[in-house]
Amino acid sequence: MAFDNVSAKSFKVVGTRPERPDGIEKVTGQARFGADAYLPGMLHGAILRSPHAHAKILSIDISALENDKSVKAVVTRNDFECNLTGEDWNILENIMAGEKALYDGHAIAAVACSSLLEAKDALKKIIVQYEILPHVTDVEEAMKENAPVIREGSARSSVPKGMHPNIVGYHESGHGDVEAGFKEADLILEENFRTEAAHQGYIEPHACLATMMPDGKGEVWCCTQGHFNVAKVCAKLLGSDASQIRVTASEIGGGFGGKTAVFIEPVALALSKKATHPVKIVMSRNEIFRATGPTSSTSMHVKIGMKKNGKITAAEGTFKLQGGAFPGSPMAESAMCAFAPYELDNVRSVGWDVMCNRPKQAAYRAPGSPMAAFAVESIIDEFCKRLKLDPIEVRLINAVTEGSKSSYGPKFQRIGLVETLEAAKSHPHYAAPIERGVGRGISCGFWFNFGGETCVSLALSEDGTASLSVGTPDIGGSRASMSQIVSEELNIPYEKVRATVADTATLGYNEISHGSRVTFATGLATIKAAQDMKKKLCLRAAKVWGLDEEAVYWEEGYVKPAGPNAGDHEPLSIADIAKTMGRTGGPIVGHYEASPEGAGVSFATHIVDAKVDKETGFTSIERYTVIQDAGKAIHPSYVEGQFQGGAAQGIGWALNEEYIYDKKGILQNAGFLDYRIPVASDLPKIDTEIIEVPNPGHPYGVRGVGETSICPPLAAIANAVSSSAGIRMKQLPMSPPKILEAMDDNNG
Amino acid sequence: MADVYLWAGAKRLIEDESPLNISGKTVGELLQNLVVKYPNLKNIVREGVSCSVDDKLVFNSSTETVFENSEVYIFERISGG
Amino acid sequence: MKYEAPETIDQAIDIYSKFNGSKKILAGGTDVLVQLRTDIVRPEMVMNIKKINSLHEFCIVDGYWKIGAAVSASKITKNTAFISEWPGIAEGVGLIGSTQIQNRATLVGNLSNASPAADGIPALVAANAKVEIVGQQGSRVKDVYSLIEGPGKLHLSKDEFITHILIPLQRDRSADCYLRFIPRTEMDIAVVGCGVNLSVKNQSISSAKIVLGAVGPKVIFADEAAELVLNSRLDKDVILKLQRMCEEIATPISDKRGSIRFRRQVAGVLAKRALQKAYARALEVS
Repeated sequence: MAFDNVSAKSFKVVGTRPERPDGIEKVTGQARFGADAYLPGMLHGAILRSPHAHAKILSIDISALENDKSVKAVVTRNDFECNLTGEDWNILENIMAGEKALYDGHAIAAVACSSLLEAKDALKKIIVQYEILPHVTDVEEAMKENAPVIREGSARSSVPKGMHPNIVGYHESGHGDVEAGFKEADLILEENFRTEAAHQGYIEPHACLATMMPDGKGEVWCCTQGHFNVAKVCAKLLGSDASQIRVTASEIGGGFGGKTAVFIEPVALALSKKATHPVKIVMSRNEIFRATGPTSSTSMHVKIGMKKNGKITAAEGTFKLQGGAFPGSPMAESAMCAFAPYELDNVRSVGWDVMCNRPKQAAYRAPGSPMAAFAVESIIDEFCKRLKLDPIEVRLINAVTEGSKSSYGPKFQRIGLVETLEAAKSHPHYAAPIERGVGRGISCGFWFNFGGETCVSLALSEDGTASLSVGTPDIGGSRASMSQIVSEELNIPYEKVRATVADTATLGYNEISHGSRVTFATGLATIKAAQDMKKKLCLRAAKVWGLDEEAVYWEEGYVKPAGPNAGDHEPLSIADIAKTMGRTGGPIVGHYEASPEGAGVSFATHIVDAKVDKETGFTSIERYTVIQDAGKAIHPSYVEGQFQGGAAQGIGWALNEEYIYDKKGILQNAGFLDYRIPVASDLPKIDTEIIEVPNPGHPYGVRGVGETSICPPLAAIANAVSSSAGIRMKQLPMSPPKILEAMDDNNG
Repeated sequence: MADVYLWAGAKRLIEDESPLNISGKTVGELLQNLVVKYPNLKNIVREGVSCSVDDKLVFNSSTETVFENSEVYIFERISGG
Repeated sequence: MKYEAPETIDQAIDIYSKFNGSKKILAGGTDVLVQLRTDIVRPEMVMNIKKINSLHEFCIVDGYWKIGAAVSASKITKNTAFISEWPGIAEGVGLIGSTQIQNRATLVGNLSNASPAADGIPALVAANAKVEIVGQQGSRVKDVYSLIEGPGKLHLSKDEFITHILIPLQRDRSADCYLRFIPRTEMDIAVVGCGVNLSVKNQSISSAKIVLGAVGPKVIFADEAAELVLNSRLDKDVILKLQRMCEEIATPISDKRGSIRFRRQVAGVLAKRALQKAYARALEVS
């Protein structure tokens, strides 16, 4: 029997909302997160960090620690591998400074002691001599001719010759003739936009417990979005083998992209290697803000031409993103996502990747897309106001559909943008009257979604239950949705499946849980592993009955003989086969290993009502609706949670979150008191509507859902705020002081 | 031969106009042949590219099949959060 | 670090005044424990005062509301008799931290921390509240305003600590109000705060105190602004003048929480709104 193309057409379990498998542990505080691991003889590590934004490290004097009995190990850059290149070198340079401190908070040295207090005291005894260098933290400033140079020779080959060394990446995409397109327009609008760096703001701090034995065997327990990547990076930075470092992923208290990066695990391993004891490192919130990656800050310029009827004739955008003191800001993503929702004959998008004296940016939910959408969708909103057009109609006129040529090149396969816009148009929120003083904003958003290396193993237990091992940390409910998929495929109850995130020694390499890839890729792998198991169950039954493989078939949880010629055998259930499997050929395990392609891109439309207090600049979000194409929602409650989470984080980013640097380049708000993520009472009830336009690249039609939800909020909220305040807001965050300032400037 | 389209930034590095006619039974072969024909593209291909084959997005796989008349768009490698 | 938990006020005075090293008093611990954990303070001695019964007093004695140093914020915000008399003070206390924080935090702690942005202080000052202080020399009473020296500093000698807050009973036809501005809805620190306490006679304001918080090193009496509203019914032109006056009286700094310009502007707005609210309340009880 061919199982490859078999998939459930009408679902029994997929699309329902069973209880989450990790609920009891989390609600009762039993779940073990990164900082919840302890080992006998465990030491505490602490990291000395640069107090300067940019400085040459002249010397690091640790002599005061040499006779200090409380200090069990000290490490500096010299304790790591020295022949690294490319991104491996960048990661090392970021987690332990080499010749220069590149940003406020850059790690300089680390110690391990029996207690954290001792470790903190030990850090105070390390004497570092710095030569302070001029610094730059602003993206526009960093591109100027006389800007301080972060590092020579970091530019990718795409950067035109003769540019400042801080400019390390250049992207250009598009098609048609934008100049000709602008000539056809009835109205052309162009504007500059700025956004500040926003941190992912996960509540759980980075934490790890690492052991490195003298024979080179390492063990790491940590909170991460990708433990296989942790093993790979640690091996490279320590000159060890990936197979010798076994990494176990803890429960995770949020990541949102920020925990795709590696910061403390190699340091803990290096300390452990020297101390020959386990070493635990837990970052403080101050360290998280200063030394882990927020997303890029941006400076953008967008120009769009439109006909009076709302048809866009040409669009052009420049997106400058600083990514901290390293290359890699998501400027190509900004440029490629910016105009993706619209079918354009003439479009040109340019991106610049710029280095600054700030921490290395890390991925944050649809990296690059939300900022670009803020710029583009703000201009579209302005067109609607000037040309007196309905914001949803204008977007519908220009919306991409199956076969439309995307702004970044290829044609779209089946997509659901129009469906989200139609749903928005008929949503009660859109029809609701707008109260006096309130502004309503609309925005669309786009994200690619990914596949990537994936490996799962599905083992049958003797009692007919199933144990699924996956290698992608569960950051959004994947243990529930994967169990549902196994339940669906094998026809056994959801409760009879247990999904576990296995360590790096148990499975083949799994790419990080990122890019909204898990439900798509791990889901696909789980379907295939279950199908593999079904095939093996059929083989086993055939063997028991003395039949050929072709003489049996699978139906509704049973293996049955195919037709009268196969003989009169009672169908065998999974439990029947499982019970005797030890005597009929051994354990039955389904596998799947691949790098699935065919991830489905996704679109969303958001509707926001916001009210600005014109005397204080305070904005309250009065109503919020998220409409997004999920392809197929495996567990709708988790999908809705992702929709709401994206909106909530977007509200914070739009209204109050920002990195504030002083004149010396020192971060002024490295804590949750002054880095203002929204608290529960800041948020309205966020309404959601799941659209299901199946992804042709997945057997159930799944698209990723985790990231697209943060693409529209910045723009949708800015449009609502601009409408309420009566001025166009072109800078994020739209904090009260900035709103008042903009209103004052507008009044002359 | 597949019709290959480059992103505008890469197009600047070569003199030919899109589409480029490149042979190859897989994405990997096609990229290899592309670099042989246009050595200027060597670095940007090495630094990482993604592509679409007949509108299917292919982020990573070099074994993805390319047909005689396939349309292949190549763009910079992107990553998610 | 030494830990002490005396059970009588005399023991506490003895322990505290005789200890010469760095020391901290622990009541709710919502400031001290955070400072300890983040290594901002490392005192040689911590004295827990929660076991002292008299510091849990919250009652009227000799014409004053007497609030002990161990009384939690939630005890204050849930005392209906107190709230109906001093809604503004209760508003300030009810804005400290969050519900969970308020179950531990104390008003005396909020005062002792002496943050320029403390939500508990402006309404206390507007109400002309006092504190009872004990030390080696016995006890003394001092008004809250002159107790505060500057950011993080009180006029207390090394052996002294606060045992109670004393709030005079509210006069007839009078009411108070406290408002603060934060960019969020809770769990934040005041960018500007304003406490108002006023009395009315024949529907006109007969006396008023306006106290601005977070716009100077310590709370500011906006006396000139208060004079402006005397004998008025808060008509439009009076309000506008008051707003401008408060903008000028405020002496804020520019920092991550707001610029000078922004804080002055909001000080004016909050003074206006707090006055209007207190006035409406006073009319209600007239």
